[in-house]
Amino acid sequence: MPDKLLMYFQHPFVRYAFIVGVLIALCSSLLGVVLVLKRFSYIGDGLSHVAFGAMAVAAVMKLTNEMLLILPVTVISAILLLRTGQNAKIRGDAAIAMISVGALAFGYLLMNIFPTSSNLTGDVCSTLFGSASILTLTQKEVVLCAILSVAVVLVFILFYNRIVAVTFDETFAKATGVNTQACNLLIAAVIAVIIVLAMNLVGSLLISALVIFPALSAMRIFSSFKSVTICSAFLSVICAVSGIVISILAGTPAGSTIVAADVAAFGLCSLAGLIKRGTGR
Amino acid sequence: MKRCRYILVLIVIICVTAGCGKDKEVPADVNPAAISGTEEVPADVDPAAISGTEEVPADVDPAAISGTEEVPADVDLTVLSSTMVYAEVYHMMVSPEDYIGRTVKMAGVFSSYHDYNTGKDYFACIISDATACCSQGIEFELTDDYIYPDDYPEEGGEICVAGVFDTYEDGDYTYCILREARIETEKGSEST
Repeated sequence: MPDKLLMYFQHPFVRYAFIVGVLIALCSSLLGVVLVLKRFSYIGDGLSHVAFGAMAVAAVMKLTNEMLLILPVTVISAILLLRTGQNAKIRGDAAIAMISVGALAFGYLLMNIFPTSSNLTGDVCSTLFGSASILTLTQKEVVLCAILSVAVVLVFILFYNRIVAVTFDETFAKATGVNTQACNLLIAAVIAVIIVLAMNLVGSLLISALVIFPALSAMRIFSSFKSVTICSAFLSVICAVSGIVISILAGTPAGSTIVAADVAAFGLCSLAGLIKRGTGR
Repeated sequence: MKRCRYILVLIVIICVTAGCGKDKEVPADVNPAAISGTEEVPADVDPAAISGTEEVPADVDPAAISGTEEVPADVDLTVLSSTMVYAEVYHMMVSPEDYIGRTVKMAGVFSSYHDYNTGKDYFACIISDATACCSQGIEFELTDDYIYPDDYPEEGGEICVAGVFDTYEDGDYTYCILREARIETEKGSEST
């Protein structure tokens, strides 16, 4: 098996898959903690459907670079969903559901009316489930992913304190002078970027798992925000790498395998948390 | 905390720059153990399950290629998992210039198409991705030793085909093809 893996690593697209997979897993786990604590766990699903709809429009318009449409549309949708901060919680579920199913239906309808390839079902299925998308990246796409991922990580690091404040108590943060509106806008934009990137890794339908599972797994063991974030990032990267490795060795769909690894990690962390609580530590 | 942040940024930058640089050479999917005929076949995915053979030598017609007696496949897709095969074929379609002139061996499903306008027959080896919802394939052109339809496999049958990768223009489109191809039947024996 190590020989086979080394042989696979000779392929540039396998190396690209690992690099992008690690970066996307890292970014999604960092913001996943924020989303879970703000009770917006399902926003990843909603935004990924919006991205799917935007991708359909871009394909119909025969845009050379579909990201030019997908990224702005997804960012705007994220801002609309999150812009009111605490108030958005009241409308959060309904808004996400409305935008999510509407965009998905609209996107699929467009692709049926204006098909861009002979295998429409295959294209849609591949986009939704990410069976081998991560292995079909070109070098330009890898560079773009890397730049966006670095930007996301830098934003998280530089605005860490403000993000923590807005996540736990937005009202108090506002009272202490934090520009919560700007912070929420920033979080929304970053989340949108991560969702668009993560579509390459696990597909549209499974993005939520990539965002929430590492955070929830970390929360089984740790309680402080910093510990949870670090643990979440570590788990997400490990699961992404192992998922890709299993996928290319066993011939399984990459997206589903990564999510399965995330679920397994959640199970193990839940068990570890039970043991930890049981021993009273 | 600041040190942790710097270390994290450094790790990210290393990951980002690790993928830089264009790889001009397409790596060989040649499994030395399988080519040299040794007994050890370290494949989790058994290529024999696809092609029905015990060994997987590339069986390209030497007279058509380099004049040597046996030419191993430069790109042997039969030793890869289904996910890797799909990805490799995808890249062949996207960047065919990296594969032109290389001997490609692949296993899949035989498919044929008759163009009633031109009267020409087209033959392809089709592979599916892991979810079996996406299919792609490569057209192949067998050597003159094969006569259609007697020496050709049945429609939908599992085949293993090896040929020299090439492209051709037809109208506004560029198509990929395996030229001077030879085909193995389901039983593993080479046909003609």
